[in-house]
Amino acid sequence: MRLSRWYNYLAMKDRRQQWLRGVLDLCVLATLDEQVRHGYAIARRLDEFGLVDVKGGTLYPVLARLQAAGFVTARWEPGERGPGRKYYALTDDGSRLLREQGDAWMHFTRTTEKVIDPGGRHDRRDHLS
Amino acid sequence: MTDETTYLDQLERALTRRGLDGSRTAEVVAEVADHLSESGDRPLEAFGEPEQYAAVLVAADQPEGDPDQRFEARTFRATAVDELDILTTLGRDGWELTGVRDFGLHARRPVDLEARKTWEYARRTGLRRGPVLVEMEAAGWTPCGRWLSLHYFKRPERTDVS
Repeated sequence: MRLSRWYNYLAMKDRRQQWLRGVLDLCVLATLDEQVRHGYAIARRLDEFGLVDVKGGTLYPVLARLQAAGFVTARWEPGERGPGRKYYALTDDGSRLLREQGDAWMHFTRTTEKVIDPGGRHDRRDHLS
Repeated sequence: MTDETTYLDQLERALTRRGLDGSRTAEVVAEVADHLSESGDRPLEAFGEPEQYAAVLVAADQPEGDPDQRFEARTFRATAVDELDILTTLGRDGWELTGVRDFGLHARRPVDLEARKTWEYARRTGLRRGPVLVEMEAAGWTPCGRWLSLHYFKRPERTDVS
């Protein structure tokens, strides 16, 4: 029994990663909608919300894609030591993407919630974070 | 060397090999270094194998659905005796040199034939890089690699690949 529970745990982690892939770019844009941030500050902000598994290897490629597509801009600021720090900010296009796709995501999650839990009886504790 | 220095060095090599230009490579490495120093994470746990991270990052840099922006990258072998001939041929075939390391010539060219242009190359010798750079950049050359006291420069030729 313990072994099968372990398998379930692994499957759950894997599934969360899949969910995250679909929505991490919107989460990143949302943290930048609050204020200009550098990469690690974005990770920390996501962590404060309970998205604790976002590693550098996941976050920076998302930022690179958003920058290449023109949804964020970046600038380097000199640091006390070393080559400095890269700060990201939302562009107008990024702001629009966040608004439109954010609405679409909310609609999607409300729909799936109704499908999975039609009676509204499901445990609502945030046991996944 | 610490784990981190080794990791950053491997990452730099992997990015160069995939055709990322020098300034973008330096930027990616600096950002990883900044993240590691602030988070205290171990490089492998936070970013995965350098080869794999380089591949993901280079792919992320290419805007999707824009074939003009996609590059193929390759490494060519050369020696200090024949490398200029090789570069001349590569430049005519649309290969843009992105770096030189131990006489591996790292080059890239757009996947899209229409987007390709031809390149010419020059080599200068000098123990001090500064004066060489000033002289060459004034003539429209961009530095694209060095090996010991050999400095390599590129510039697009006027005519396009037919």
